[in-house]
Amino acid sequence: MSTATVYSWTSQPLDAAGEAVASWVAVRLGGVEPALPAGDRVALHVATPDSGSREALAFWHAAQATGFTLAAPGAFPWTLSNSVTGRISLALGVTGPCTTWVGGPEAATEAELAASLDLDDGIVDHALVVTLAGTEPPDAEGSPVCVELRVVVLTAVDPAELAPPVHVERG
Amino acid sequence: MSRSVPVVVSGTGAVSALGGDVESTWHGIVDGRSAVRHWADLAAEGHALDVACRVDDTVWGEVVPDVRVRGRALARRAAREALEDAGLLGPDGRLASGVDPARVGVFVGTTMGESGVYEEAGATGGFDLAEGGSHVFAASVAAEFGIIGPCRTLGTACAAGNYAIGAAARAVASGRVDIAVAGGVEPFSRIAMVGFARMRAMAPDGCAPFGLGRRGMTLGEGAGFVVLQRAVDTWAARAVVGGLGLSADAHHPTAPREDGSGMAAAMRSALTASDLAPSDIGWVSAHGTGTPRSDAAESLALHTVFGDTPPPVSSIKGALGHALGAATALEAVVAVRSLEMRTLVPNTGVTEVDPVLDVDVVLDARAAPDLQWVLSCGYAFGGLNSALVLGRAA
Repeated sequence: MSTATVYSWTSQPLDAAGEAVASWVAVRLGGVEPALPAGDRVALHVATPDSGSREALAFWHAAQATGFTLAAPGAFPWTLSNSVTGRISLALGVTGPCTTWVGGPEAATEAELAASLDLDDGIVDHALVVTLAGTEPPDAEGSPVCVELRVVVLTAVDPAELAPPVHVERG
Repeated sequence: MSRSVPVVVSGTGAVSALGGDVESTWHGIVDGRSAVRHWADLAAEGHALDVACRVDDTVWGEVVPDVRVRGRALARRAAREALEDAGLLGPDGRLASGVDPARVGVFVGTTMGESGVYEEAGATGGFDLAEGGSHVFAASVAAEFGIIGPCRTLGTACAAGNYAIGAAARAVASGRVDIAVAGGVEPFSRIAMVGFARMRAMAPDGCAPFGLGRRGMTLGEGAGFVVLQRAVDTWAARAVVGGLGLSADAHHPTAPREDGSGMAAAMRSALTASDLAPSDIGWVSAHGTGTPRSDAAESLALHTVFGDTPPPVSSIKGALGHALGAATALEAVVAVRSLEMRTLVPNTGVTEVDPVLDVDVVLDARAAPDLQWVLSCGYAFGGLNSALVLGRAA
């Protein structure tokens, strides 16, 4: 069994080229009070339909403009879907299982399921389920993007420690 | 991730730069061949390096898939071989009549998605996520064989195959599905070719994992798939799926922790989930990219987990290149074959092992009659670490 706490944000337009989106996500999650759980007893499951897509398009667009031998090396890692997952784990200090599920609503469902299984299997004590998506579809240039971010914090609860159910008699 | 319900590999499939199926890939690796070569088209396009491991056009026969659908073609081909191997396809090439398609799931790992769609977006001025996104591979496999169970994609980069196989094994063990088609796919990515070259992560003449003077990786492509079922549901067990151990470095966007502690945590987690001791592992199928830092960190992790004398170690990236999202899936397929053949495959591309690493690198194919358990490791940008245990079938 677990308890859940939910947070959500929407960004202003962010530059798709490089780490702007991942950094914005990390700053938002790093600023949550009280601090989100960290360490090796915490799992992080990210669900996204498009993380890395705009970054890949922007990287390739720029590389074709400059020539491949002058492409910006620092922008490349952010073309990967899981770069944002790594950035979150770095910002929060999460060193347990971290995964990135790609797709529509089914990805978010799978992330929640994986988090629940991690808790049920006793692998972790807390699991963060992060959903992240741009508000507009990616375009060929990797244009700036607003993103919606939501995090659910699941915490394992010992059923024996839960308060007993309250019976209300209706008169 | 300990499981009480045993899950087995009942089929394997592969397309690699050494061949269009498991057998050709296996024999190429065991014979010590490397698919590393220079490519004139890459040089002509202006790439700083023209060395890569790509699936040869001859694999496809008369119709070579368009670059915009290449990843999907790779995925379907390897998945078909795996399903046929497991005896789950009917004469029409779809799931056999006795298989409930709603009880079959597809779990696919990848890194760059259908890279050709991204690369052509600049020329066409349009990009459609529905055509290029990472999810297209799993959807394509499901559609090809009439699978209507869960269809999931793991974007966990260079370790994605391990993540997909682990998630699939969980789904099978829990009874959520009866059969899972799981693996990884990566079509050749020019975006990755440029990115890794500019990060100075590539070797100009082919990668030499754990080798003295190693200079980096070689980009590859391909697909690897396994079919997973509960042991009680099949007579066709090729290998047992043990535990998957996962960890994160929380250290750097691309570089591993230099002491290998994150990698070691994943290895230990896998052993714990499999109820095994380090001494049970007879061979490590290493991540072994051939980059100086990653190989050094992995060697330290092996010493942390296994002590002074880690088991023999091989990386197949000297033979196949680094196939990114397909890499650990191909390594799982090769590990299954190694368990069946009781043979450790060579770490192609290396003549002299870096003595500082102090690991027993398998330079020539080696008989291993007592091989029972293999640890297959994969790590990824973002600091993700994975280790998957596979065992000999009873």
